[in-house]
This record gives sequence, structure tokens and C-alpha cells, in this order.
Amino acid sequence: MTDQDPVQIYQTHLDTVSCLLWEGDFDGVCALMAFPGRIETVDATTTLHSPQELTTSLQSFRDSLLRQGTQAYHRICQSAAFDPEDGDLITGAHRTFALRGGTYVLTPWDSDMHLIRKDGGWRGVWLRVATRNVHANIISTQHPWHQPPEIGTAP
Amino acid sequence: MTASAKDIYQAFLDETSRLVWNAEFDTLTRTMTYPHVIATKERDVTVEDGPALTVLATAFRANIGTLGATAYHRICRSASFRVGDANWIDGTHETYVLRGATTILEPFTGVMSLRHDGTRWLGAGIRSDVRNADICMNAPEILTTRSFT
Repeated sequence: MTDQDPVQIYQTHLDTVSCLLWEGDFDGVCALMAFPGRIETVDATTTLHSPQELTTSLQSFRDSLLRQGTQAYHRICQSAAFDPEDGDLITGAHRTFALRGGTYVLTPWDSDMHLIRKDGGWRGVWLRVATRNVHANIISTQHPWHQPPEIGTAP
Repeated sequence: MTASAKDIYQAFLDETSRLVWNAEFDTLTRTMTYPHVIATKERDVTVEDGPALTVLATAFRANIGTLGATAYHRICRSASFRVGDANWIDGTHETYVLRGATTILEPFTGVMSLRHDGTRWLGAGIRSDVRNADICMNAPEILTTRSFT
């Protein structure tokens, strides 16, 4: 059963991952990702080789959101399309909101993401975030694999 | 004045969402022009003045609080200056009532107009594609206590 609307696939992936992240179910998040994966922010970039590495960053990101008083985490697909040469790849863009009541805890930021179809499901494999990592610890700074920024390119 | 209609519309959404959430209804009433219409699937209500709006906004805020919401989030989908009268903006937006990372009401679309009064942009009516029974804004018990037309 594959929904062929790429926007709906992309938004469903966002919603599912957001709920799992918010609940602290990092194993659940990792199950919806493909490895190696890549995360790029304005000031930090890394390749994630394993669920363990991703979990460390998921923890730091979630801790950062909660520490800053976030009470709701909301991501909205802005666009998504199948790659014209690869029906198992969706490229899209979304905006992320960290909210508390009727206000933004953090300035909303935009991201580009790639999903690949693997083992019958859609998995996140590449994320480029248009915000500084220092604002939200999307990539844990505790890792030796924390790297200086590179020019972002798809894997 | 280079702000786009969409920027103005989103800024208005952000301001009024914050005021609703914080129950700052006196300030909220000053962001609107009167009379204006608040419409849901069941009925249209003409809001004659600030106190009337306060009754509706109070009911809505209480309802989303009862549902356990932790955030009230509205995102502009489209907005444009009205052809022939740039003192009006007509637009659409999506409303999300959230608890954590979950929407606790089915997201719904709103169609809203803003009017510039020479000083600032004011809300001038909204139609939401949602059953009033689900958001409890212009509820019958409220209508019986107010002489809305």
C-alpha cells in the first residue's frame, strides 16, 4: 500500500517522526531513517553511520527544545516531488516550528530533506537545515564526528 | 511599505494567536474592525463589538484548554491585496491545535479578510471550514446570551 502523493508521503513522515521524537522514542525515529545518513546545518555537518550516532543527536535536539521551553513541535511540508529519474526518491522542503502556546520559542526554520524507499517504507536519509546548529543542537556537539561546515550536496 | 500581503497576514495571525492563547482579550478586541462576521459550517455570527468578540474568544480559548492543547498555530497559505482596493487583504490559512507533536483537532482552513484603517491592519471577518461543534466558538448557549444578528 503506497500512497503516490509525494506531499502526503513527506508530511506523513514528518508527522510520524515528530511524534516519536517528542515522545523520546528514538529507536522509533531511527527505524524511519536510512544509514548512512547526513545532516547539514549552517554551522555543522555530519554523516550518521548508525542508529546509535543518530540517537545521540536526537537526544541533544530534544533536550534543547525542552530546555528552551518548547511545548509543541510542528513541521509542515512546503513542497515534495518524486525524483524524475528515481521513483524511490522524494525530494522536499519543510518548515519547522518550536512552539509554546501561541508563540514561537525559536525562529521557524526551513529544511530540505530526501526520503528513499527502502524495505517497503520511506526513510529519511538526508537533511539540510537552514539554521545554526548552535540554536537547537540538531547535531550533538558531544560527538567526535562533529565537523566544520561543508558545502551541502546530496549523497 | 514593502511587506507582502502574505507577510502582513502571517504577522496578524501570529499576533492574534498569541493574544487568544494568553487570554489577552482586551488587546485582541483592538485588532479587529466591527461589525465583522465569524462563520463556521453551521452558522454565521455577526460580531458587533469588542465585548461580543470577547465572549466568543473566551469560549474558544477555554475549549482548546480543556482539550489539553499546548499550542495554537496558524499558517498563512495565500494572501493578496484586493484588486481595486489595497486597503484590503484577503487570504487563507490553516489552523493547528496541538498537544506536543500531535494535532488534537483535525486541522482546518480559514478564509480571512484584513482591512487597513489608515494606521494598522485589522481583522475584518473570518470563515472557518470547521464545525462549530468541534471548536465551540459561536455556540448556541452563547448566542442566546448575546443579541447577535
